[in-house]
Amino acid sequence: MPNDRSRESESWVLESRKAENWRLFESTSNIDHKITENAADLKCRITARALSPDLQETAGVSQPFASRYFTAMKCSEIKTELALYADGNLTGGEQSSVKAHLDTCPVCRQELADLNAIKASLQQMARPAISVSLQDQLKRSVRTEIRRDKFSWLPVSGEMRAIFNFRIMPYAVGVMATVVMAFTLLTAMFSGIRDRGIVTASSPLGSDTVMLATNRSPLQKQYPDSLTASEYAKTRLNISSESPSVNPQGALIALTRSLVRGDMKDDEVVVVADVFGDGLARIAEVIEPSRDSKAIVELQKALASDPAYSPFVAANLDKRSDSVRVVLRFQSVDVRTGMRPRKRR
Amino acid sequence: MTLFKSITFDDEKIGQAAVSAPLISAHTSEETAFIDKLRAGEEAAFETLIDRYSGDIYAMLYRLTESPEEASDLTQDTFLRALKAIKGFRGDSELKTWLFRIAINESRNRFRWWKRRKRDLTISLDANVGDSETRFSDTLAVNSRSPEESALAREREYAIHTALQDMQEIYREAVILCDIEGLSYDETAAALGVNLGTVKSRISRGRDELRRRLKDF
Repeated sequence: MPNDRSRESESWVLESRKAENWRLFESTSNIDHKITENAADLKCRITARALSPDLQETAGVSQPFASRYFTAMKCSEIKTELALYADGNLTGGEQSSVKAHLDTCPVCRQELADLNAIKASLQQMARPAISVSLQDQLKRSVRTEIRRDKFSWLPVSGEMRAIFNFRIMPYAVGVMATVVMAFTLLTAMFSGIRDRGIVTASSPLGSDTVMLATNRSPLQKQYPDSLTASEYAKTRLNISSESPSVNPQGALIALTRSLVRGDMKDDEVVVVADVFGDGLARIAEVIEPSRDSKAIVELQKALASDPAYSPFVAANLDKRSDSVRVVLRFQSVDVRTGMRPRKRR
Repeated sequence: MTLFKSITFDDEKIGQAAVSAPLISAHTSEETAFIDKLRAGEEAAFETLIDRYSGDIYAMLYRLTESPEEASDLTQDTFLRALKAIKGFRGDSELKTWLFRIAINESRNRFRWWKRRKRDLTISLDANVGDSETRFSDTLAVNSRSPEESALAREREYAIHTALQDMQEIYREAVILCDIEGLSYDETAAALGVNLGTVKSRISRGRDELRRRLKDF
């Protein structure tokens, strides 16, 4: 371990014999100081016993070290204390320790000065001001919330009410609206219609819905009002890309007519089917199964029948893609009619 | 000879001692009556609460967000949350500290998944200060003695704004509450929901980080 006790101009080196390889560089405040890279890690703990009298003289210390440096701190410890020291938030002993270090360390003194300057700058920063309009808005919001809590028909806490209002009510309103719309639409569709019929589900429920199947008379084999495939497709060109047009002369309508004439045991049968470019189709999935075991079989036969009696209009007439997946729903809908209701077998 | 015993900021005993100390209500009888009115849901009491503290809450939130729109939204969220939570207010802190804590939580909730530190942010000197018509540049260095000092002060404050936004949120919160909003260490700890030792550490680190970022000024 080097034992350098040389005094270089205004700087001096102290070496403690007791501490391992500790060297303290310090300079006066009048000249450039040399601070080693490890200065912050140096322990400044120097005992009186470690310091020989000649070193004390070299350091220019007039008082014995024992009475002067008994609470030495290292710079790294000082750094974390400086902010509190600046705020006066240290205990008496801590305050003295920091002050003692600051008396001997110009680096830490400069850091303290920097911290005080920053603190002063922070306190002098422009203060964002809240506008009167925002304050009024706050008051309105609070008043509304208070009155809502006081006069609510729902005797639950505000949190529960918030859950009800924002999570349940939107769905409830949506469901209710759907039910009302569906009921209104069905009523509007079938009120005043004297014939009982089935509207194929591939047609959208709307103003362009065309009644394709009726039971006007079981003896009437011809339906003078029935449309051709191309005529019907023309009426639905704006939606046919998403909803293939049922072939009015096809097997699907024939099947539904037989259901109308006969006895439809099911209130609803729902299937998913793939409709191809030639108008034929194939059941992909049964959503609402039929109570009639033969119904699905008959339906599949109708969908995959002779292309001349294809269930759907060809893709080129519908201006649609060659393959479309659809949901087919067959519903038994009771409507007002002047005819005596048929007895169910 | 006495060897120096270093004191670390992670000393939990400091915090535990502070927490275990008996609660001393700092509320006067008038303040207690005011709190009772708030708990009862009196509109006038809440309007008084807004008059008293909305400015501080807004200013603090503006410092955190550097956005008048977000500060406005968060201020509203803070007071609405306070309305819901007032019945649970035990009076063990000042109303202002309690409101600050709500505001801090609202701010954290909003920005937790925004990864705010990675967001590029520039602050214009021509931007208005908060909700007012005053620009940043107009408010700087009102006491400066010379144009050069004014310009330097203006640059310094701009640098402080930028440095604050670049800091980690935990240090920024501590510095804003303690150094800008003037809360004590205890109040800052209550507002942040941490112990006293943690607050001291964060304030120290925050200021040190500011010092390093602003060393050129």
